[in-house]
Amino acid sequence: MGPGVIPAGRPSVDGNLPVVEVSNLTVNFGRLKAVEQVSLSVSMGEVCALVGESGCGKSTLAYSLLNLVPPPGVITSGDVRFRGRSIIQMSRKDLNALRAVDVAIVFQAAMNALNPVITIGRQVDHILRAHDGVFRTQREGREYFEHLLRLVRLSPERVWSSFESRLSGGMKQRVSIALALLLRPSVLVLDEPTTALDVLNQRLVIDILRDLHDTLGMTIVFVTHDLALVAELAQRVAVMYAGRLVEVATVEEIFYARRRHPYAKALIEAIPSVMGDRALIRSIPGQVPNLLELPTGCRFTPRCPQARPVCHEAEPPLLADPHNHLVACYVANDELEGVMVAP
Amino acid sequence: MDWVKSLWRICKTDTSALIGGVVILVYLGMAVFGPVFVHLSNVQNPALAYLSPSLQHPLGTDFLGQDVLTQIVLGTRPVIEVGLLAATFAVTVGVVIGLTTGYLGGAVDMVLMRAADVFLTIPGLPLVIVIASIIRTPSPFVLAAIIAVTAWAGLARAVRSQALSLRTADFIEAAKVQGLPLRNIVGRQLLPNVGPYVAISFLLTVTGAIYAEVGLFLLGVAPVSGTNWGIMINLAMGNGALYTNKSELYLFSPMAAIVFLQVALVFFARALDKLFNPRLRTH
Amino acid sequence: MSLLNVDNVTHRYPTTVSALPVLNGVSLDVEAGSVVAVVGESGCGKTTLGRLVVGLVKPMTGEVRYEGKDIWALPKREWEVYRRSVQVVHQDPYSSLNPGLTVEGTLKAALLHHHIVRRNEVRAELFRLLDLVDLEASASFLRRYPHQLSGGQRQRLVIARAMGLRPRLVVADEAVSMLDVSMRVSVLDLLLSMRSEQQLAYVFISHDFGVVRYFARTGRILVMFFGVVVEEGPSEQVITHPRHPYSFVLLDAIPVPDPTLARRRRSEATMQAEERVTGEPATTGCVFSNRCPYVEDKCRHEAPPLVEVVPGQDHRAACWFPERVPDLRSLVEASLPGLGAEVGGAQDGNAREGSADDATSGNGPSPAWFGLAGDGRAHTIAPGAQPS
Repeated sequence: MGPGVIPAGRPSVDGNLPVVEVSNLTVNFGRLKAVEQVSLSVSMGEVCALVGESGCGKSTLAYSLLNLVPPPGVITSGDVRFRGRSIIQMSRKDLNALRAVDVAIVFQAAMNALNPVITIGRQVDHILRAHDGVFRTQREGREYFEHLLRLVRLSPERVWSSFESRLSGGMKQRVSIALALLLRPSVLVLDEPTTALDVLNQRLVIDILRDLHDTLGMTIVFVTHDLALVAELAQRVAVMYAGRLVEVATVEEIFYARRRHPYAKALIEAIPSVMGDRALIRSIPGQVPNLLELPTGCRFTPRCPQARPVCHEAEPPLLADPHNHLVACYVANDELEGVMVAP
Repeated sequence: MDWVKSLWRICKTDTSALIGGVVILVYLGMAVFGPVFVHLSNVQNPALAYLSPSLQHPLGTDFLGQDVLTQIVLGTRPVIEVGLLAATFAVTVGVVIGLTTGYLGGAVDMVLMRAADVFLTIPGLPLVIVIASIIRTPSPFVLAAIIAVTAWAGLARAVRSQALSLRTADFIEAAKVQGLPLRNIVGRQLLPNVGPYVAISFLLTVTGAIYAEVGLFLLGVAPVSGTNWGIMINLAMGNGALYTNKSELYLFSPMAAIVFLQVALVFFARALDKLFNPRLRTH
Repeated sequence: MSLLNVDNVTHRYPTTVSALPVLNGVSLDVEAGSVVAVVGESGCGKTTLGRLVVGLVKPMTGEVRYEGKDIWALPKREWEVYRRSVQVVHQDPYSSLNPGLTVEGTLKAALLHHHIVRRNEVRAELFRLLDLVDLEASASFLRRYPHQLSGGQRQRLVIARAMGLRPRLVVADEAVSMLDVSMRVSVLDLLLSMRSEQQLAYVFISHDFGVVRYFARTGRILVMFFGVVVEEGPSEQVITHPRHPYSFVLLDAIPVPDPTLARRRRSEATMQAEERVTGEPATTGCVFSNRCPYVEDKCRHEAPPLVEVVPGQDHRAACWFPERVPDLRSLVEASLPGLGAEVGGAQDGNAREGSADDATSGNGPSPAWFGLAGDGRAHTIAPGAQPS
């Protein structure tokens, strides 16, 4: 079996079917709603970015995709479905069969999650043994891993018998990506894949993720606060603010459309880019609101340059235009004719 | 103060911590106020020996007809006194040495840690017994110092390893760049970070000190004068309490007093652990 | 006379086995009130350089001079002055604050030790410092612990702590790298505002050229590669006209916050990303020779000296063939016309003329290298238009 071929036993899917569907998901940490009423669907083979500043709930949302929200967080309402099956209601046994095999996750600073007392090769063996139904033989699994190492531009000889301390930060991050792909998941979730890497390693990871997407045809969901990364990698973008979804669009719409959420626009303007007019770089005033003391109305109002009186009254609904570009903003939605409420 | 409120909240949810705290307070009460309200009569009447518990003598009488409960209450103060003093000495010495050697390293570290090793390898209780039998003194300070001699080493080593790991932290480097002197780095930068460990170790050192002290009295190595639990056990055994079953209460009461206090200290130490380690709390 | 001067310093860490020194003949000059940026990937020695400037590490050879005098030979009095005048802001706001100290404890420590203010003035001074960095100047804030603050707040506190000593030079070592991108500019603005108020000089260390450009606009940039300064010059010059292949590689690798341009770049970049990252620094000849796309034999045998490459501009590079490094500015301008046509026209109707595919030039790889298209404003796309 070569790479890119869908292993037998899994249903083949059409390119546009949603492979992950989140409906009205709410995740609570005590009284605090880290994720509130979020609905999102990710199509097969798509690269989707979850964007926002620290504390907006994007990581929590990403963990929910595998029902991995760490306690005391708990999913209090809504559902997450993977290929139609609800992950929230799945039995433990089914969940274990699903994780790493169908959906894999690379955690933030995954380089720190490698076991320091055994070699990389050993860790691969452990994983293969824990999921011995995926490959016919242990050897086949190892060969696939070597193939993956080459895809992430690492030399298998160098890496297989190394301990994690012999590898640089950038190399470890790439090994973590290869490990996540070992069991041939169809969906890869990455939490801040390039934070903590310097610019050259960052560029390498970006190019690798693109190549992986092209050759293996996988669905990728990644979490980031860096819109430059989004521009490089994503096809669709979901912007979150203080636990809520404020915009869902294609990457071109996020960057170029006239109708955009002011927060998305502000995030782009706050990037200290190397070229372009330096005078246009603008910081976002204020800070992310305390989730226990949210203002009434739109949560972004205190920091929004376009705030109007109506923004203080009630939370704006997420409305779609004919191209399914969703924005939750009274000002942006002003120009919409024929209001379509997001499903 | 926030930590008092947090402590109260922890005690409300964790029963063992609450029990521990209450029991400790009771003992402290006995230690402080006991001798004020309770007096041991001078009447010694062997005919009244080993009476069964009654309203007049809730725990019975000893071999001289004197009230056992009174002796327990009066015996609390010396025991707790020496226990607290010994723990204070041991913890102070251990922390100062541990932090300084951990932070400075080099020759100072080597010399002091070899000394600590010596004290760690010599069995504690025998050493204390030997010293105490040479320096026969009724003074609680000296007794506490003798007990502390064996206890400081383990603490110093543990604190030292914490200091070693903190030494390279960015905030310690920042303190150096700010030109802060050694005593500030050790006292104001490092100490608050080992504070939790020290507080819990303090409580546990008190338990160890109490055992050591009671042991000394029980074995007769420390001068037998006044009333305390160790002496009570000593006298009980020495005066035939082992040979009659009417003397159960007299023999077991001081032991029970010791055990209850120790257990309470351990329970309370758990509460402190939760106080300092927010991850163990669930609110 | 410059405020601080690092003179031909070479340094090795006693525990490493690498054949290359951490710093190899590095020199650096900081004038009062100026900004010097040091750029390079992790492992290039920039952090060690920062620690040298701050006096935490004594160089094996070479000198570090403050106001003309070797800091390691200073008498006690003058060392105290130096100690106060040169401060540091670290990268990680989570480890550079003592978790056991409140905000008040953190700020007070050095203030009292150096008698910057009298005891009865300390409170007022603390509020002043908090105000300076846009933090809440209140008694309740002073009682907070670091774990109760956000990353941005912690970093501001670290800055306040450094400023409390009225320094004349601050070393900012990756000061914004661990903050969200959206927070970086506001912290950089804060640091810049203090520069004018307090006549502060900065040594700004980073691996991110974008951040460096924003911060060091009027200053100088040093590019380092494994212990060697490979290029130095005025900031805008180095960014728009790099004259060392490594500077070019770093600039080229930056993610582009523009999807259409990013996609074009991808299709045109011919130097594979891993070539830029792998390849050990060479121990003979030019240290960059194992990774350089323009490498020649001469490079492997002789290490090029740091010499002026642009007459009169104080712009130096350590390369035998600096003329081969593509000029980024002209490439960008040439690639813009094609871009405008694809996207459907700029919003303000600036139709541009020119050929669409002018991104390749001369010898060597041609990175289609970009930034925000032209005026940096958002462009509309016709609904239903497909990206290229």
